Amino acid sequence: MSDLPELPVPVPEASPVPAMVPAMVPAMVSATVSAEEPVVPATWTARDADVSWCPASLREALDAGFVLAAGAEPRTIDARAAGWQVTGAGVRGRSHAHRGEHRDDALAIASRDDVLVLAVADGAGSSALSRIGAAVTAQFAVENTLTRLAAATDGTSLSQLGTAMAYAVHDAALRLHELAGLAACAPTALRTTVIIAAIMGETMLVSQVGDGAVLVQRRDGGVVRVGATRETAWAGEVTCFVPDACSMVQAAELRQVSLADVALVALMTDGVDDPFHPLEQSAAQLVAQWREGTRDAIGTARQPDAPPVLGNVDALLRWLSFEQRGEVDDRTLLLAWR
Amino acid sequence: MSLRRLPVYILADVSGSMRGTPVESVKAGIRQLHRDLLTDPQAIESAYLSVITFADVAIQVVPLTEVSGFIPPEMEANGQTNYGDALRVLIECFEMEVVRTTADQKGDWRPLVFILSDGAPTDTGWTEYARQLRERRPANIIAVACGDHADISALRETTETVIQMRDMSPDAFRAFFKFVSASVKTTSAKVGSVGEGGGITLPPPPPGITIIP
Repeated sequence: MSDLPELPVPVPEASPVPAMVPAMVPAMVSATVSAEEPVVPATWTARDADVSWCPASLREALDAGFVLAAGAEPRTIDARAAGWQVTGAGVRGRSHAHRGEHRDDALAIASRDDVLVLAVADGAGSSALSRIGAAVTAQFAVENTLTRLAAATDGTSLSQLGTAMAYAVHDAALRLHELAGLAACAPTALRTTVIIAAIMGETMLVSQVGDGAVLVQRRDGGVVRVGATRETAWAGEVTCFVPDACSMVQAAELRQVSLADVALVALMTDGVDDPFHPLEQSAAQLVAQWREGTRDAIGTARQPDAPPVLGNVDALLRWLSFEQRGEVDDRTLLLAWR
Repeated sequence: MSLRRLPVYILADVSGSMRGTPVESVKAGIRQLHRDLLTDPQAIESAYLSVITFADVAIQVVPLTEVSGFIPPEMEANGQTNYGDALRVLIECFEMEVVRTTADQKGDWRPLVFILSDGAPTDTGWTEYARQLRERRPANIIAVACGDHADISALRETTETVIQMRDMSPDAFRAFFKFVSASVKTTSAKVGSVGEGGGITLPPPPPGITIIP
């Protein structure tokens, strides 16, 4: 019975179908049998994206240099600014690679004097142009924070830094609405999460819309998560995205962290933190791997041996290539240390 | 660091009115769905399938099973349409089989449920279970009104996503299960939470299947 799914004629009512033998159904047997041949389970592949990163409708609106950098695969950052060293990378997940799609994650940094701003963003997989939303939001988050801070009456004020961060997300949301108009799509087509960490002197402010995580490592080796998770009861569901109206509220809910005894700050999208859930338990091991190299895997992840990743983009890319069943998302990790 | 799964439940009406071609087509469709998911590595890793049949009573004929280990079930059609028992069993399966995110454990994707029915409930207790499902939203539920005699209002009370498949030919069921397969493949993506007006975006239904507004 189980090998008769494709019969083109109705099965007689309530009559068991006899075992299929060629003599009984000579005209149909070859097609039926071939349709029921065992399926070899598919394996992962990787191919370049099928479409241009930047849709034609947005080519004039987006700077060519920005498009080139944001659309690069992988996207990496290796910099020194405001007394911190920064290493970061964003890579396509297995799902996007297999389907010939672009990475939806983005990362960006900017600095001026003693202020360093870091951002990671993760475009919603269900939104067609979320890669654009993520890249634009990350870039606006870091650049407009600095621009607005520079225009503030007191550019050294933490409260004005916080205000600048929240307005930077507001700026990004407005920009996404503009781009949606140009692309003739709904603003929700550009939905993205974003995490912004702005370091001024020995203080860090963190703004977060959606999921992802921020860790800090203290000089005594202790590692803590900044803020609580914003996950829902279900995987992959996020309560708020940029440019939704709620993003203005979430972005303004700033967390302040003293950096006096902090040696490392890590921003990550959920493609990195989900495989190591609960992060509160695995965070110390993760930071140890980033600092000292990877020899033993954490939990059930299959992690390749990798040298320390701080200051070594190639090592970071290797670290990001770990495998874990069901974890197919893009991965972005941005590390600042001193 | 447990696996996060996409639970997929298929609730198939196997009451007497489904006897013959319709139930055979559902069986064939489930086999086809299984074969199709085997061609997608993400589905192989993440999707877990379960089949619940309902007639005089509801029975989970296949518990939540990963795609590579799934064995399409046999089904026979006869009896009444105890829709309430189907919803009760579904809710019990959610409680027993589906994992929600906690501080210590990573949750599954919100389950995806397809309810196929060609008739009207013959029991009286279904409304309470339907109300629970509609209010608590423990899953993305797509109800399919098969043929011309399905009770669309009963399906409507269970979920806001109701589609109609008037044609109950083998080809129509084949197209429907292709749609199920495509829905499974596209569901494992970051989405807005249902409570915030988000939820999954279904692929376009095939010709002959319409979304009831």
